[in-house]
Amino acid sequence: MTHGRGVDLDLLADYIGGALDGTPEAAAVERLIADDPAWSRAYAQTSAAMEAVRVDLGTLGADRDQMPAEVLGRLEAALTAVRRQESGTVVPLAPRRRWVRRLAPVAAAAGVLVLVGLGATALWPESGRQDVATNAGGGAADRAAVPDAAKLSGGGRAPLIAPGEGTSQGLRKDAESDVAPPIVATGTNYRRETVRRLTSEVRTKALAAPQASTQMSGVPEPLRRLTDPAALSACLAAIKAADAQPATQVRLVDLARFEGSPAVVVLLPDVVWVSGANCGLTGPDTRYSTRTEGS
Amino acid sequence: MSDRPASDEELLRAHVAGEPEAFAELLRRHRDRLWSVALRTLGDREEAADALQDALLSAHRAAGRFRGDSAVTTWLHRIVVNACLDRVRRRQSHPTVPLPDGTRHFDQDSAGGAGPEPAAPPVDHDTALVVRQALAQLPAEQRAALVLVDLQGYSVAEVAEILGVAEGTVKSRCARGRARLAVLLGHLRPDPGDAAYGNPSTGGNVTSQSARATQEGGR
Repeated sequence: MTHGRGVDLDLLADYIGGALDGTPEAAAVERLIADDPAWSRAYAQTSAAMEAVRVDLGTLGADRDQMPAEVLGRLEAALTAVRRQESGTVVPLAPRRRWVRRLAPVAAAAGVLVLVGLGATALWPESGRQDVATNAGGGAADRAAVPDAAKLSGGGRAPLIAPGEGTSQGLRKDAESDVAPPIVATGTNYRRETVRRLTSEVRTKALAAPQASTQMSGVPEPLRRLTDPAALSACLAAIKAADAQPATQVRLVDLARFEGSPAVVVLLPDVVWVSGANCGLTGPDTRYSTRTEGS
Repeated sequence: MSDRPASDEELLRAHVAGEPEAFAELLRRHRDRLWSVALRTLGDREEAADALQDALLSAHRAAGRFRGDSAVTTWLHRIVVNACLDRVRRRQSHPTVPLPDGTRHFDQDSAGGAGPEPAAPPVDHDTALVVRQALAQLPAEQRAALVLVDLQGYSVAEVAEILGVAEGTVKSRCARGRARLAVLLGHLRPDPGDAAYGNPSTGGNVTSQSARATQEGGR
């Protein structure tokens, strides 16, 4: 790059920027600036211009760059997935084998929003009771942001879809369990610190809820799309793929909020995955994921 | 037991020892700086996120080989910058050419993930937008050096360590980058016959043998 007749702007910039300090080239450039009017003029202009650039760069305000929450969520999810893959090489699959098949009642009360329907069976984790005990020590403040049984079973906040509810069309069956996951709309606004306590305790209580009259009003508007079984299936498939566990079982879906934004909160055997309203459109739209407490 | 927060190195060691949340804590601790470096080096939100993911997964795997010769942040920045430069090199095989009048409105592309990041609103939005556009036109190595020195405030010595080059090379990349920006931003009018300025593919038209040696040195 040149500046004016015979002036090498890169060389001049190197000189101004100190890249030539202590080299013979620096002395040569000094002579050119002293003896050649074109170099002298270019030196003055370029020095001022480079200083102006420093001011301009200051307007970018790197200190104002904040990693968006969705990017952080995506990165944390990727790290979680890697951790799971790595631990999977040394951790036996015993917990998964503890799952046994039990019959669950078919919830068919009037007013229940039946989005899916499959057979009348459900899987219940034998470890569910253990999880209740494991999490009993959680702080009250944290637990306050986790839906409790009362919230899940009362006030129209109970499962939108109970396991085993049945019509011929609906959510794709889980590959391992042959049941659809229960889906609730608790109205909870989860936080990073509390979402990991969404464990099988909550699932157990949710599914134990009496035949509740669930209302669509409990689903945040941006998530209404996901009350369509096909849309929710795509969302869960995307989450499972991102978690590198395509055959894993979804234990609970809560169409709720996460840090104030509408979010699909999905409980997997040892991970809670939080996705945004676009889940399943082009990917999982991950907001956050973490291992559940005690997993 | 001390309430002192774990140092970066302690967190990295804990991660290597199997502590599941240690690496995620490192990420949360330095997320904004790492994001800023990736975003300003690549100029594209989606690319930056992809590069960061590549870099962090690489660091996650390679943590056991960290020897403590440099600060953990320096090590992390080096991995992130290298991931960004790798992406730039791959992208150059499928280049996108900015509009010749320089009026491309990058923010309009954000929905498709193709355009540079519309950062948090700066004090002077118009100036910042123009500067971002100009920065995106620099050769990647000059841009990375400028981002680290002029935007992130790292010293030349630290950036030399991050980039794995000599300090003179960092000074040269920064100086040439600023001179090129000066032309692109209208602070300087170069020789009109010089086709090199403003063309990022040339990376500068160095005529001086010693200057070239400075630029190449330490690579």
